[in-house]
Amino acid sequence: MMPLIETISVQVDYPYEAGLLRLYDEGVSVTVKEGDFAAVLGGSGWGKSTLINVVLGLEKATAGLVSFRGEDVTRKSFLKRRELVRTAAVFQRPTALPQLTVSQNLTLALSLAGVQKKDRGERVRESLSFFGLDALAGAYPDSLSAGQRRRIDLARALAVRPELLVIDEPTGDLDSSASNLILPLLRGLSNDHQISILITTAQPRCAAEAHHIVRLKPPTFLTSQQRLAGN
Amino acid sequence: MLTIIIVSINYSLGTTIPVFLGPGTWLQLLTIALVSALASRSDTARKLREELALLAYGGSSWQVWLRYFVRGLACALVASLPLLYSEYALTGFSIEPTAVSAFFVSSVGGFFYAAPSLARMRSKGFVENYKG
Repeated sequence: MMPLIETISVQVDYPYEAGLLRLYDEGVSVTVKEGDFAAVLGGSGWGKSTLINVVLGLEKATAGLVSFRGEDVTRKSFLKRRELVRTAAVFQRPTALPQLTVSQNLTLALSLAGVQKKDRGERVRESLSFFGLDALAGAYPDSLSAGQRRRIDLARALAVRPELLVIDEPTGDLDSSASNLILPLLRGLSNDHQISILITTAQPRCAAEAHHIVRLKPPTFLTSQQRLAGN
Repeated sequence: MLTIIIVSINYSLGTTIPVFLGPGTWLQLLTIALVSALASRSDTARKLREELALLAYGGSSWQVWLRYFVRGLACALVASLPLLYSEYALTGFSIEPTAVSAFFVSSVGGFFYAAPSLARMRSKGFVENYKG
């Protein structure tokens, strides 16, 4: 079966005055098939969020290839990639708009995704219910806890019925009880709803929920002299 | 103070060389452009959050730009209503020159209000804000 998304030997360089920070020195390869649940495991500063951005097309890889349904999308934008695979992303930082209620946030995401007005209400209710947020539909995001805001972002992403759900550190700043709520829901999405999921995490316990794990290695720093010497 | 001076110059030029993008209108446009750009630069943290959210929700940078353009357009139009009305009165209540001025004033306001946002979204550091 053709993978939904694939990264092959991706590297990202960040040039600094004193040298070059290279993420994924040996190249990172990630494959996510339909209904797959993949986790990228790595420490802080090892490039987990960068990898998410590279997959989404928000950052460019210095080397390597990104493909969606077998098509090379390395140089294509987030919007172009979404035309190939309906993708929703949940970033590490909560993104819900503070001036809108929870349900209005979800409705806005649906309108931007081009969902017809008559279908939006039902989709919002369905998605909020899946994450146990029915009672918070009229609440404003800033009045909620970190765990609740995380679930709002997940509900917003799920509402657009994505084929691929990309989540940067789903349990990053949550306590174990909030994490215990979210992880089984993600597994359920993959197993029961056939939604492909790609997450990044620094917690092996969280990664263990996935069908397969990609382990990152620490970045390397090449000084200007090392670069000139050809390292 | 600067605004008062510009408005005074604008008014005096407007009375001597009225209508249709005369020097008075150019000054008005310059003022609108500067004030709109300044207004757009204020409260950047809230705007940045809005931009991050809309892009994460699946919007394009052009949709976000359009949102700010309309906002800037409306603000510039409302702020210029007294000046537009004086122009309307000075031209013997003729609608055409006032409509042209209103079009330019609102377009300039919208463009200069939205430009910093587009620059922010196109910058290399923008996606870093998604990281924790």
